[in-house]
Amino acid sequence: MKRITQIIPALSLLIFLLSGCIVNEPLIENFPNDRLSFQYKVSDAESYKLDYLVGATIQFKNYSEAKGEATWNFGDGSAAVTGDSVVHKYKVAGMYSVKLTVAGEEAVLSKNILISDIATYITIQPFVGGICLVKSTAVKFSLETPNPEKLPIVYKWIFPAGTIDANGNPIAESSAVDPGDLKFTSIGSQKVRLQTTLGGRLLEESYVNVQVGYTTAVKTLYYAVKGGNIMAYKLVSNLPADIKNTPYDLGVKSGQHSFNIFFNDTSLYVLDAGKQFSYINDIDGNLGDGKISVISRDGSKVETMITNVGGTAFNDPFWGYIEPSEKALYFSDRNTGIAKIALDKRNQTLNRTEYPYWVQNDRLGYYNNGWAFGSITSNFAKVNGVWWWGKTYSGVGVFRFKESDISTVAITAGTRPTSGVLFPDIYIKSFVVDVTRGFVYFTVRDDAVAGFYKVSVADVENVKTFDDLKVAGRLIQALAPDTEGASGEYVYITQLALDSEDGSVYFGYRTGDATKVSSGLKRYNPATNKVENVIDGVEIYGVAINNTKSKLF
Amino acid sequence: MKKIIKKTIFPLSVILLLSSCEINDAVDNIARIGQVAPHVFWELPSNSVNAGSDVAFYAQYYTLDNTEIDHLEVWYDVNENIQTTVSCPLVTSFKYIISTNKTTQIREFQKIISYPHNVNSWDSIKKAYILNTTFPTSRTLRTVEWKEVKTFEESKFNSYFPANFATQFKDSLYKLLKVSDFRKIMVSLNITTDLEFKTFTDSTFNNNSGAYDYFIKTGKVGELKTKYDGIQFKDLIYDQSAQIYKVEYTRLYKLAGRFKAVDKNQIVGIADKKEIDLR
Repeated sequence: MKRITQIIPALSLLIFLLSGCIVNEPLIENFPNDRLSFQYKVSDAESYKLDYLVGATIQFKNYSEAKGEATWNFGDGSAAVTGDSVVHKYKVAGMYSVKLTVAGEEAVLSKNILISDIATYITIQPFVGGICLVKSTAVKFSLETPNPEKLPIVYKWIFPAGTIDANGNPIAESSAVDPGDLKFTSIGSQKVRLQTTLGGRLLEESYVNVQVGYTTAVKTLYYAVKGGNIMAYKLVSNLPADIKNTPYDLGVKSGQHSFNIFFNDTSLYVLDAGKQFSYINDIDGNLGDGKISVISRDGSKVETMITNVGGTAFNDPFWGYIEPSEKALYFSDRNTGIAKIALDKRNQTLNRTEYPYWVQNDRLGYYNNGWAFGSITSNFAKVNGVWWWGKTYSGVGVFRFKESDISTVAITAGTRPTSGVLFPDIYIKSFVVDVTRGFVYFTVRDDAVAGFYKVSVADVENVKTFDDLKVAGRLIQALAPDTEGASGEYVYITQLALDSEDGSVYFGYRTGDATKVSSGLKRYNPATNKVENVIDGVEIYGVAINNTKSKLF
Repeated sequence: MKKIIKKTIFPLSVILLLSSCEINDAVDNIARIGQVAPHVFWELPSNSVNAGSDVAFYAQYYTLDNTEIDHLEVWYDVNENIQTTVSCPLVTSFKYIISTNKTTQIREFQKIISYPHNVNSWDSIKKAYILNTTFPTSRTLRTVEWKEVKTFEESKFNSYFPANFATQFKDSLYKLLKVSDFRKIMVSLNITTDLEFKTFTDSTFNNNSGAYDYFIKTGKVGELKTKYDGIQFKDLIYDQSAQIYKVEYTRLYKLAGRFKAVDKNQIVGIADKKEIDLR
C-alpha cells in the first residue's frame, strides 16, 4: 500500500507533465458575419467576369448574420427584389449604389458597383520576326466584343495615313471584320481605330497602337510631354522619302513636371517634381508629390524608384545626373542640395536619414560668397571630373566644384572653390557639354537675351555678361519662352540631350510667342549650326537619348 | 510532519491526475490566440499596367507547423479617382479655379483568381514555396483624360461634370468679380466695347489710397448681370492666348490588392496591400 501511495503520485505527476500542455490547441472559431453583409460577382461568363459589363448577369448573395427576408435595391430604378441570392442585369453603364435591407434590421448596407460599357478589344497578332517594321511587316488584327445579350455587331475600321492593304494600296477605312494583312509606311505609334455598333448603339471607339520600327537600328530619343505621356522617337538620318517618322506613345504618363529624364542601360529614369514646384509655404511639410520612376524602354513596365509623396514639397526630385561608373543617380531638390541613390533601388521613400544630402548650398565655399540660403537649383552635371551646378536665384550662374570641395560641416561664409563660376549673373536654365568636340551648349532665360547658345570650352570662361552673349557666333537661336513658373524659377528649357555621335543637341521648347518660334521638339544641327524643328507643336519638359541602336526600342 | 505530507500527497496527486486532461492553458483562459496562419510575402515588379494587362507578381509562402497549403488567391478592390480643374483665365484681379479630387471604391474587395499550391515549388534556400505568376485586370478600366481642350465638346463636358456645374461656376464667379474683371470679360468676349463698358461704371476718389475706386453704377447692375448671364460657360473658360479651354478631367483607376495563402484548415495568411495603377 505504501508503495502504491508513492507510485500513484509519481505517475500522476508524469501524466500531468506530459499531457497538461497538449490540449491547448485553440479551435477554429466561426466568427459571425456582420449583421448585414453581401457580396457580388459576374456570374454568366468567365471571359468578362472582371469587366462588369452592361447586360452581364451579376449575382448578389446575402451573407448577413441578421436573419430575415433580404430586399435588394440595385440603384438603377428597377423594382426591388427579395431573396438571399439574386441576379440582376444593368442596362446602362455607370456607378450604382446597391442597397441591401434585411427584415427586422433598421440599418441598410450599400455598396458601389461600377458598370462598364461594352467595348471591342483589338489584339495585334504576333509578328513574324517579333517586331513590326515599317513597310515590310504584315500586321493582322483580331477582335473580341463581349456580347452578353447576343446583339448584332457592325464594325468600322479607321486607319492612320500611310496604311496599305495586302495589295499595296492605301487604305483609310474598312467595314470588314478582318481587314486583312496591313503594312505601315510610317515609323512610330500607328493608331488604328475601330467603331463598333452593337444592337444599333455606337460604342465608345476602340483603338490600338501598332509600334512600328525602322528597318535599320538607330538611336531612340525619349521626351516627356507636358500634361501628356512619355514619348519616343527614332533618330533616323537620311530617311527615305516614302517613309514618315512619327513618335511612339509609350502609354505612360509624364507626371506633373518631369523636368529631367535620363536613359541608362535599358531603362528611362523620370524625375517628376510634382505639381507644386515653385515657392509655397508648406507649413506642415506634407505637400510633396514628386517621385522618380523607372520605365522600361518600351513603356511596358513602370516602377517607383523613390517617392516624396506626403513629404516636404521642395524635397521633390527636380534635377538629376546619372553617374554610370557609380551606378548612381544624383538628384536635387528645389533649392537646398543634391542626394544620390543607387540605380537599382526601387520603392524607396525619401527621407534624409536614408538619403542624406551629398552636397548642400551651405557645404560649399560659394555659400554667402556667390550664392545664399535657398539658392534655386537648375541643371547640374559632372564634366571631366568637375561638377557644374546651375543656380537661377539667390546666386545666378553655373557654379563648379570638385567633390573634395564639399565641407562636412555647415559654412557661414566660405572661400570659393578654385573651379570657379561660369556665366555669373546669367540665368542659365540648362546646359550640356560636348566634351568630344569641345563645345558648351546652354539656354539663357533672361528676357533680353533668351535663347540657345553655343561656346567653345576654351571660350566658356569669357562669357560673363549679356554683352558677352552677343558676340558673333554664340547665339544660335533667339527664343521667346512661356512664363510657366515664377521669377527665378521659370520652367523654360529643362534639359538638353546631346547625341555624342553626331554632336546634335535636342531639347523641348514651350513658346510664349508662337509667331517667333513655335513650341516643339528642337534639334541643334551641328552641320548647319542651326536649331531646327523635329516635332512641331508639342510641349515638352525632359529629353533623353538611348544611345543603344535598335529597330524598335 | 512526514505523515501529513504522505496524507496530502495522495489526494493531491489524484486531483492532478483528474485535472490534467482539462484545458489548462493559462493564456487560452484569458485570450484567443488563434491559429498560426501561413506566412506570406509578395512583390510586384511593376505597379502600373495597361488596363486589361496581367499584373506580374512574385510570392513566397510557408507554414510554421506541418499544415499543408491548400491554395493561393489574389483579391483586390477597385478605386476610381476623378480629378477636375476648371478655371476662368479672363479674371485678372484674382485666380478663379474650381478643382475637385475624389476617390471612390467602385468595386468591392473580392477574390480575383485562385492558384493551386504546387509542392514542387519549394525553394530550399529561401525555405519557402515560390509562386511567380500574374493576375488579371479589367480591360474596361482605362484612364480617361480630357485636357488641353482645343474643341469644347458639350457632350463630353456633360458626361464628365455634374449637371449644374456650369451654372454654379458662373454664379460663384459673378459674386467675386471686380470692375476690372467685368471689363476684361465684357471687352474680351466682344459683349461691349471698352467705351460702352465705361457707361456701366462710376468712381469715387479714395483719400486713403489716393486713387479712384471704381464700381458698377447701381442702376446698371441689372443690365450688366443680364449681359453676364448671356455669356456661354465655355467662353468664360477659353484661354485666348493658349487657344485652349481651361478644363481638365482625369479619371483613373487603382487596384488595392492582397495575396492570400490558404492552408488545409482554411486558415488564411494575408500579405501586405499593393496598389496598382491602371492606365
